[in-house]
Formats: sequence, C-alpha cells, structure tokens
Amino acid sequence: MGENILILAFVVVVIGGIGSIRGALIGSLLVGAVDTLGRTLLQHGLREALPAQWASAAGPALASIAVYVLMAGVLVWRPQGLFPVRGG
Amino acid sequence: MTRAVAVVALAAAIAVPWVLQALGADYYLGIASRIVIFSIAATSLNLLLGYAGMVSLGHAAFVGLGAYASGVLLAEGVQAWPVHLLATVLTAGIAAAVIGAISLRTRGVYFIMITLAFAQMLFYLANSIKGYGGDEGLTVRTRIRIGGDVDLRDPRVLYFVALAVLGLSLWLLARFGQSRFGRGVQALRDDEVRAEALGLPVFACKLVIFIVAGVLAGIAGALSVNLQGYVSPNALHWTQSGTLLVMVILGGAGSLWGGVAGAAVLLLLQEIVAAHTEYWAFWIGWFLLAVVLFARRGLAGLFQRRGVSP
Repeated sequence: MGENILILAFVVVVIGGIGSIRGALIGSLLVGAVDTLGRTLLQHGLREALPAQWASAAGPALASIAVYVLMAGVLVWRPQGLFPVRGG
Repeated sequence: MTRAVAVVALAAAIAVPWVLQALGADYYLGIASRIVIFSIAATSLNLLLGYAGMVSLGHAAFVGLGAYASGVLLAEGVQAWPVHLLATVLTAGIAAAVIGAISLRTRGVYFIMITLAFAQMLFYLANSIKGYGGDEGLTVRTRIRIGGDVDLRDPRVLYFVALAVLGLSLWLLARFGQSRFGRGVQALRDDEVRAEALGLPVFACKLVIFIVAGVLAGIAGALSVNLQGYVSPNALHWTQSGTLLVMVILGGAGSLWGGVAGAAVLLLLQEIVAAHTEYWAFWIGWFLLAVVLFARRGLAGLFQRRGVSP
C-alpha cells in the first residue's frame, strides 16, 4: 500500500533535513537523479568492468541500494541532513 | 514477587511440549517455538529501544544475517553447533559494530532512517546472492547438530534450545537492569546530555548495547532458520523490523517481559484471527490502536503498579 513511495519520501525528507522545505526540494532531486541514473548507468558501467554474468546480478542490486548509500553518506557527513533547521 | 512469576512462567514454558502431546496437538509446538524465537528477537530490540532509547528500524537485518549465517553453513554441510554459534555471533556482531559506529553519530528520526538504510542495503544484497537462493530464498535440508545424533530437526530439542536462550537472555537482562552499567544506560536514555555531563561514555555505552542487541537478534535468526528450514531476503525487510517494533511497544518497551509479552500476544492473535478471517491484519490493527491509546506502557505495564519504575 504505497510503501515504496512512503520510504522514498522519508529518505528525501531526512536527506534534506527534517522541517526544511528547501531540503525537501533538493533532496527529492538528488534521490530521483541517483535512483534513475543508478538504474540506467550502473549496469552499463559494470558490464565494462566485470564479466556479464556478474554485472547482470550486481547491477540491479546496486541500483536499488544506491539511494540508501546516498542517505547513509549524507547522514554520516551531516547528521542533521543537508539543510538543518535551527531550533528544530 | 517477580522471581515467583518468573519461576511459574518457566515451569509453564517447560511443560508446553507435554501438554500439547497430551492434547494430541503436536503441530502447535512449532508455533510455540516460533513464539519463543520471536521473543528472543523482540527482547533484543527491547534492550535497544526500551533500555537504551535507540529506535532502530533495521533490527530485522541482524535477525536475517544470523539466519543467513546459519543457513549458508547448513547448505555447505556444516552441522557442528559451535561453528554455527561462532559464525552467527561474528556475522551479526561485526555488522552491528560497523552499522552502530556509523549510525550512532545521528539521533532520533535520523537514527531510525540510517538504520533503515543499512537494513535495506543488506536486504538488496541478500536478494542478489544467486548462489544462496537469491530472491527465492535458501532452503536447507539439514539442521544444527547438538551432539551425537541429537539435532534441531527434533521439534522438542529445538524448542528447549530456544527456550534456554530466551531464559538466559531474560536473566541477563534482569541482571543488567540492576547493574551499574544498566543504570548508566537507562540514565542516558532519559537524558543524554545529563549522562554525558556526569561523565558517562555515552557513545561507547550505546555502541556496546547496539552490538549486544544485534548479536542476540542474530542468534534468534539462526534458530528460526533451523525451525523453518528456510530463509529468504524477506527476513531482512524493513516490515520485519516494524513487526519487531510493534511487538516491543505492544508488550511494553523497557519492561523486562515486554518483548516476550508482545511476541506471544501478537503471534497468538495472528494465529487465532487468521483462522477465522482472511483480513486478520484489519482486526489486529484495531487491537494495536487500543493498546497504544489506553495502555501506554504496553501489556507488561498493565501488571505493574503506577509510579513504580519498570
């Protein structure tokens, strides 16, 4: 029941910083770009580097993970999100 | 008083296999084992959530890691229990140490989301490991051998092993709650800044609790793969973490028996309601709402006098 959207929306809000409107906009653009580019480019890139069999297995998995790696990375770098709200 | 309750509960739990046999309902021993195993997992989350105040939406990842550690060993033909124990503890422990060390830099909702992020990474990783079932899951034909000819295929052996693990972890949790370290951890749950000002090594305490909870969840996972003979990536999915959270909150976060009460009530309700209607989740949802609205400290809180700290 809309779980995929729910989780992705949470990811966007957390990356941008909870309570920040600007953060939500930037976060959604980032998440959308990473997810879409991950799905299209990663598999092609991996095919260059790895045997085809491995690439077709690892490509989709890595593409699904990309958004979460982005979120973990952002939170390690900035534990309050990209645009922390003061006093929030 | 509490000790008397614990002894009665233990005696009742030990009697379960014989009672079921007398009733000719051996099938239900599997459900009893499932409840015990989920109780272990919920108790480990209770330690994290109720005692240390860390809300994690990635706890199922450790259950799943433990299940895969044991499942992969079984698939490779290793049955000796010390190997399984070591592999489970190391896999879940190292993962918890790495994830904890990174996640504990954040707090509150950010902590929830970063634990979720790591759990989702492991979920998609499990999906992509084609050698061990991939998204179809891993079926194992053998079970952990305890010694000689005794292995966990015997439902009673499995039940008692799981019960022993649960009893041991509850005993340790009770000891922990009264100990110096335990009181320190509960203090940092209530006010982290004050605990730090008092000289408590907040980050180290939280990391230790995170690792211990992860290892215990891993052991629950290893037991579950031996119960079902099957593990799929869904064991790591975030909805599983959600179920564990519901169990702990339903039972009473921060109470010793919270995890057990929540797991037992939720699984039994599912079992009973699902026998009558296909839409069991609808009815259980109402029940959960009622508990959250009217019994704020969970089911275990109903049996405690008001004003007495859990």
